[in-house]
Amino acid sequence: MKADHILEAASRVSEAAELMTLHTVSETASVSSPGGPIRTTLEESSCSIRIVRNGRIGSGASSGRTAGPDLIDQAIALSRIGPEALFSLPGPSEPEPLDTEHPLVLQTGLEDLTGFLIGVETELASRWPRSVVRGSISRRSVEVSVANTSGFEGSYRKSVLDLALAFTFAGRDGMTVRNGSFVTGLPLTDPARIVDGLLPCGPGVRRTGPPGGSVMAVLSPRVLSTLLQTIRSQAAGWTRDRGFSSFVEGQSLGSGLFTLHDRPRLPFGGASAPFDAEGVPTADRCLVENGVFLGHIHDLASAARCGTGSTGSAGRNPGEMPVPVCTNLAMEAGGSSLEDLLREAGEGLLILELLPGVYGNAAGGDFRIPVSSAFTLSGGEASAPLRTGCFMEGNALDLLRSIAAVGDTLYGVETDRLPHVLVEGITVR
Amino acid sequence: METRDSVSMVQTGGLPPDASSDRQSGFHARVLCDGIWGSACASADMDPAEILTRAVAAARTAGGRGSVSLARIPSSSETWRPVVAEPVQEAPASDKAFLCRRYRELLESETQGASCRVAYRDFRRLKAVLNSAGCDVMEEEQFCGFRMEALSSDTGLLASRERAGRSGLEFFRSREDLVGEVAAECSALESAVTPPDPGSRLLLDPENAGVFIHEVFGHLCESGAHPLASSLGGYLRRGSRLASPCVNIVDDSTHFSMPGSCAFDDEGVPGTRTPIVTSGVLSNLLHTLETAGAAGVAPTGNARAAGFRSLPGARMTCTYLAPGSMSLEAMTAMLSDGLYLVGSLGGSTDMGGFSLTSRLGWRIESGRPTVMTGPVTIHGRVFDFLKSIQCVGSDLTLYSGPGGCSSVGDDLLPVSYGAPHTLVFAPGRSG
Repeated sequence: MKADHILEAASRVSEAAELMTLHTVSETASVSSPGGPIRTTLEESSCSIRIVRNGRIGSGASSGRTAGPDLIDQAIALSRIGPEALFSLPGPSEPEPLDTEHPLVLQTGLEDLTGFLIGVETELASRWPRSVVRGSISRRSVEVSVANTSGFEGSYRKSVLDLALAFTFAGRDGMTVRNGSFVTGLPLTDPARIVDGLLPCGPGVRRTGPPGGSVMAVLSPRVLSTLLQTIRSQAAGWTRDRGFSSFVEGQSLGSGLFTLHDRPRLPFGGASAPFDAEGVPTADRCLVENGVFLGHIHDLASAARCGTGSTGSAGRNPGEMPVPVCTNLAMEAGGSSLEDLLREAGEGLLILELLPGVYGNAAGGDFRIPVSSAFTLSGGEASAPLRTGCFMEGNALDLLRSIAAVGDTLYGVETDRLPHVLVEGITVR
Repeated sequence: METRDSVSMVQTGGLPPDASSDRQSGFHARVLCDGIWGSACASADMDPAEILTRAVAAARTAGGRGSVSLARIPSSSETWRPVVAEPVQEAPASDKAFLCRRYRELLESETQGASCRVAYRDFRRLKAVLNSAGCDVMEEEQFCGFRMEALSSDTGLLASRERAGRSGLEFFRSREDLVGEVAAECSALESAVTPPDPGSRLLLDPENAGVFIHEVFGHLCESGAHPLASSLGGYLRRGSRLASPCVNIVDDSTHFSMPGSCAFDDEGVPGTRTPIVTSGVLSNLLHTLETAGAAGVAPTGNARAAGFRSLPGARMTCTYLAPGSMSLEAMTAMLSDGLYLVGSLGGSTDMGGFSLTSRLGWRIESGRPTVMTGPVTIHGRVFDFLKSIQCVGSDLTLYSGPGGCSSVGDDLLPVSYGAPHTLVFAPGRSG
């Protein structure tokens, strides 16, 4: 059954229905085996349906460009136990066009991706023979279509590059692994630059313990992105309507230097889209201005429960219900160069990477995170890497309130655009 | 070829559960042409012959000759289906929702003021593996898992239990005992004190020790993930002493009630029991056909893919510290004064160092538990810690949950882990 037929069939057994289809084509080069890079192609389609039946919501999902009646059966079954529908699906609209397909991504072929990975392997081997890299780089093109029985119908295409690598080095007393979704620009970064970024955590480097007490620290954009997880979860409207969010409009969330935007309309952004997963047009919005929280983001359901309107922030994975999600978070840059920030940090720390795992009360922002890569500072320069087994601990909101200076350059971290920041009073032990 | 039908539910507050269902079906074709891999995957509505053609094209893109050589496997033709009382795909969604709601209501009534949540996930996975070496196998997997948690509004501490089995919906029924455990733990955590520095004398409960074995040590042994691991500093060379003599670590995919186990892996190799560490000495790594071929050893049946979109890699199945002979009472007496770590909030490693956080702790004084503490985080060097295990209990317990374990950039795979109580006199500072 094709998409329009599915929607028509669903409309016969429900008051309202919505269908989202994804068609994904990707090419991936991966290194994970002794035999060299593996090249993989993928072509996949999926349909996700949501219906309102007897006033209740049900959903279903199926892979494949076509789907049978079982997709609608899934939705009917879940509508019997589903939540009450408090909203109406959006009608026809003409969302503003948006650049979501970067021409250089489209021009990047499987051999370019493979060549890049071989370049990283070769560069790594030439510097550290006792090291391993594994991971993958993909070029992914997705066609997204949303249609509903209220008359909305829209589609767009987007193309993105995904790069996930893990490096393992043999040291004298153990191995060190460094994971990460490393950033490559377009055209593809020189592999030497990726390896340059690993230099400080290589083997044979004498490590030191953390300075005692709380100190000033420069946080890398990647570390800042981890701390913003609290904002991502607490700004989502569903956490407010269920009483999980402690954020209140007008509340102070950061220092006066902290201004953060959600930018679903960022040209070529990894999470950019002209309309959201429910067909509501997207709009850039400021979440935090000069440290003050301006309001939650909503999908149709959370907006209805909170008595407000959707902000066009619905995200949806195949097989799941839509939820409000932040897209491309972009912090406003400041006026300090990285050198200025390091100098101002005095005898503090430069914290580059954290290990996975956030332990603490995520809702309140408490964290205790293992540090993967950090340096003590002296005279504005990194002096020695921190020993393994150290933890950064505190509260994310307290740290955002203690931002004393902001870097003048934004870096891409996954879908975010973030600067280095100087914070006061961080504890690492 | 894979078809997976799954249902997930999360019950919070008095609202109906967040429920979703999904059917994923597709092919993954992998070809080895002149020693070079090529692969292609697609949803099941595409022609499998076209997918094979794309895989060949991907392999030939590179040109030249590669160096991949595979270990040999015997040809086999078999179908394996589990026997379960209530197949998850046949059980009504309303039954699953009823149980989620009932357990959450019970939990709420027993915890007073805590935020309570019950999450449920099931799936039926059908996989078929065919290859040019004569393998033609099919396996059905039933999976049912759940998690119950209560977050104290006073302390911000989390009490939880999670379980999963290769089972039908019957696995989720009659779980009131676990509700009682979570409620009791939530209540006890109200009076928990801030943990002291853990020091060096530690007793790990089976869940805590099991997470250490899986997260901190087990991933090192997935040879596909670290293809040069045996040459990296010589750590993972067969015959190396890695742990104290009382340590025996096993990956056993024949525990058919536990998630991660399999009759055949995703390359069609029969699942088996693989000793990883025997009496403290490394005896085997976990292999795919390719890594086994490169190492000149037999495959271990550990090739696993997160789904039809993923390539198979060497991954753990059901991995545990094998039981010793000591009783808990004898180990507590040996510990005398130290810290007892209970449950796990997770662990991580950079292969040299590690950290591991318990759900709670008990101070042990003169062989007796005296004061309950909040979560305790320990860290140290992986191999130093393994070498400081003093003794291993006889009470092996296996665990699993509704989530799973992920590798770099990949989706979650069901796994199981476990251990008996384990006594460690860690060198130096451990917390």
